[in-house]
Amino acid sequence: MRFGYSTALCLILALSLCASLAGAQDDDLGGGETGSEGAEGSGEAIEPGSLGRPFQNAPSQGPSRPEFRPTYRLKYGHDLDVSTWDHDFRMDYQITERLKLNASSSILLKENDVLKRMNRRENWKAALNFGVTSAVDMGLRLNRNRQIDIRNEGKPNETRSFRDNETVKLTTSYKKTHLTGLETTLSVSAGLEKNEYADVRSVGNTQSIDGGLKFTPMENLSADFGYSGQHSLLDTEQGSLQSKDESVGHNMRGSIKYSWGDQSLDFGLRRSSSEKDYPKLEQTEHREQERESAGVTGEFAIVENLGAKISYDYSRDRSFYTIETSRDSDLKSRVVDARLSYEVAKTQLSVELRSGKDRKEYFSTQSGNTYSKSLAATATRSFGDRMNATLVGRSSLHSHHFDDTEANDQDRDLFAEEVNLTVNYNPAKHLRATLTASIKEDQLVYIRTSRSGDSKTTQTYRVRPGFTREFENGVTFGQSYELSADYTFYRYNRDSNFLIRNLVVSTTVGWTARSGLSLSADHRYRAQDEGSYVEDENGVERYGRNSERDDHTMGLSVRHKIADLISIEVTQTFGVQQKWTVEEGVRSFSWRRTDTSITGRASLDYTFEGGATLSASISKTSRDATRIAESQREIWRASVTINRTFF
Amino acid sequence: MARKSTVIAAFLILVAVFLEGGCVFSPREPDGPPEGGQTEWETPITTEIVLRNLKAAIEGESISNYLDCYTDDFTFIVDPQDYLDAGQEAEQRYGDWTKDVEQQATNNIFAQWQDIEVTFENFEPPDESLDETYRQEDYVLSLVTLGSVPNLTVIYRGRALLWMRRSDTGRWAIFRWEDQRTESTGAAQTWGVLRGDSRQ
Repeated sequence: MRFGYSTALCLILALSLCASLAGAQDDDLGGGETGSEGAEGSGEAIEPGSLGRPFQNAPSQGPSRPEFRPTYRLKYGHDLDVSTWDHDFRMDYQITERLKLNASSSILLKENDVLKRMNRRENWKAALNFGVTSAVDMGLRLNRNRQIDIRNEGKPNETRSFRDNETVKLTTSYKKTHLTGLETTLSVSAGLEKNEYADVRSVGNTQSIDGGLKFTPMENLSADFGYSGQHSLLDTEQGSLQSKDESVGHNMRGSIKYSWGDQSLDFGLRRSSSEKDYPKLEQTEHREQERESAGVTGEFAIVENLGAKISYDYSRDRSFYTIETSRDSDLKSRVVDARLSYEVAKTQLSVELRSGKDRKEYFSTQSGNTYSKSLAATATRSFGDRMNATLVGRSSLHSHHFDDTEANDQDRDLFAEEVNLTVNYNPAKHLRATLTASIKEDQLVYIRTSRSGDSKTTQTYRVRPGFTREFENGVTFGQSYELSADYTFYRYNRDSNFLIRNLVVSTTVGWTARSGLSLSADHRYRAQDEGSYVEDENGVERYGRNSERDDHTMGLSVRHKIADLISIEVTQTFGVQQKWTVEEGVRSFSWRRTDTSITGRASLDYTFEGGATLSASISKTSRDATRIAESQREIWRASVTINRTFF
Repeated sequence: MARKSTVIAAFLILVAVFLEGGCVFSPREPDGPPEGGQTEWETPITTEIVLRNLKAAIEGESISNYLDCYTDDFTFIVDPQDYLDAGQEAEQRYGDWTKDVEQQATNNIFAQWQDIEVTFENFEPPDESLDETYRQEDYVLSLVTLGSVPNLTVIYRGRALLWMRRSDTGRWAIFRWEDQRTESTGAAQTWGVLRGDSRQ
């Protein structure tokens, strides 16, 4: 462990020194581009003697002006016997020109009165950043996460679960952009980590390094390469097990982008590998993971107004475990995507074709291939300034093929098709009309005979016309009608065929009485019936209604803003729903349910003379419904945010 | 001008292909007529039916019916104590739980266990007058191991807070499952722990 610490500290010091020297050299050569540099005039931000040597490339801005910005937010809610308190505090303190302190704390408390359960989640963060030069930053970071969950608090059967994680890190980072177009970044960190959960305790050290090179030799060509690595060594105790758990991770990435005219090519490559030890059932689990991905995307302007985009992506993800070997997996995926778009006059056309194959190996009967294909076409056309229409068609096929068809009979295909049409029409200045219509079919086919009885097709038809009219006295009126039918057809058992039909009529009226005062009312009526859709003795498909239901919902709301300071909103809703069952053509009443709610909300936004701001809001909803849990239910929400900058 | 007409004509042909359907891609044909029965499935017009479908799909190991009980934005939240007890594996086991993860974990459950049985007992009924509602169910999940230790029955118990949403056409599906340990959980673990164990 000592070796890890000293190595990391040496790395940080060495990097700081190198970076400082690099900054000084840049100054001498005049090659630096990242902000103003120069040693003179920077004395106020840093005591040269305190760091052993003057930093030649320290920023040379004027005297620092310390700023202290605290923000506190409190949220409270109470609903369904659960009280929630959310405290959030953040502060930024620019101590000097170069030294900055950020800190935050977040505490979330949830209490369930009925279950006698308390859940607490805390996150504490603090970071002290020191700008050594314009290119080099050093920092100290503290982080603590704590979660506690208590059930049956204070009772003999109380159970308590918790998790605690603490880290402290020293970081150094370097970033420089050169005139040659080369941008370099490097950061290293080292620190301590402590974990505690269930019967596990671990403590140890962590190190990480992150480096990147970005090269832009000309405007239309750029290359980006990077590497990041992490290492941790933890002394762990779980019951009688004592172990040294080591984790190592390596990530590499690279990308090249090139463009010419309206055309471009992107290449990307990623690879990562990791090994992690952690305690599990008083043994040490060892997990190895490897991930790799590659992709290429090309965009081409074939001729005027005709463009194409083609991409190919490949990825592989492997995981291996020492103890829980049943979780081993090897997943491969490749996708080809091609898109063609054409624009002529006021019409845009596009066609997209996608094909993919996933190979999944779980070392169980779930291993197999999934093939996906889809084709989509879109046409959008404007007819003058008052009308436009969009037609979209999609077709897709997902096919599951398992290796062991003897042990796994879930081979299946899902074939989906749909066509959607949307028309917007504005016949007059204050009148808007819309029409949407769609047809959709999903066909599920199980291949193996042991499952093929579940093969079925669903078809959905929907049409929805509507309009909105605005009057000059601030009144708006809108109405829409929706008709839909949802069929389910079984391939082999036609007695199970089913149909649901819906009619929805929505009406909205709004009135802006004056600035800051508005009223609105809306009503929705829905009628639904459902039943069997089966063949009669003559082989003709007929619909037999099983049940009917209808519901009315009405809402009224008033919004008022007083003196641009306080907003008040009151909303009331009324609902009634009824259901009938139909047996042998006889309709009998089943039930009737009512629902009423009123919500009042007030909010305030105020800025004090000194610049401090205060935002507060409170709302209460009272509901009364037929259901016992919703009878006289009350929901409270409140929040306060205070923000101030001190100079 | 001729080129424009050609492109538009090609596009219209593509749209026609869509409307015709099945010409571009077509699914495979089944090996033959069904030998086994059909997994029980009712169109989920109530939240109660969603649970019946879920039970039938698990017991019949029908992954497609099982996934039809969930919305595309489904997420699973494990009991906080199960999360904390997982220590360093917690995020890997329970973090970012999507419908794809649910599919993979459930496939593994179906592959590693047999004779699966589940019972739900309603703890708090839903209000189906809304388009979004919740119901609390106490569940008992019983599974028999396959492979190295045969005929060993394992029981998972807990409470599920199931948030459900009604689609535009009136079908209910689960969009959020909050798992909870209960007083009666005893030595049994929750379904959430089984899900975490089965995730890869």
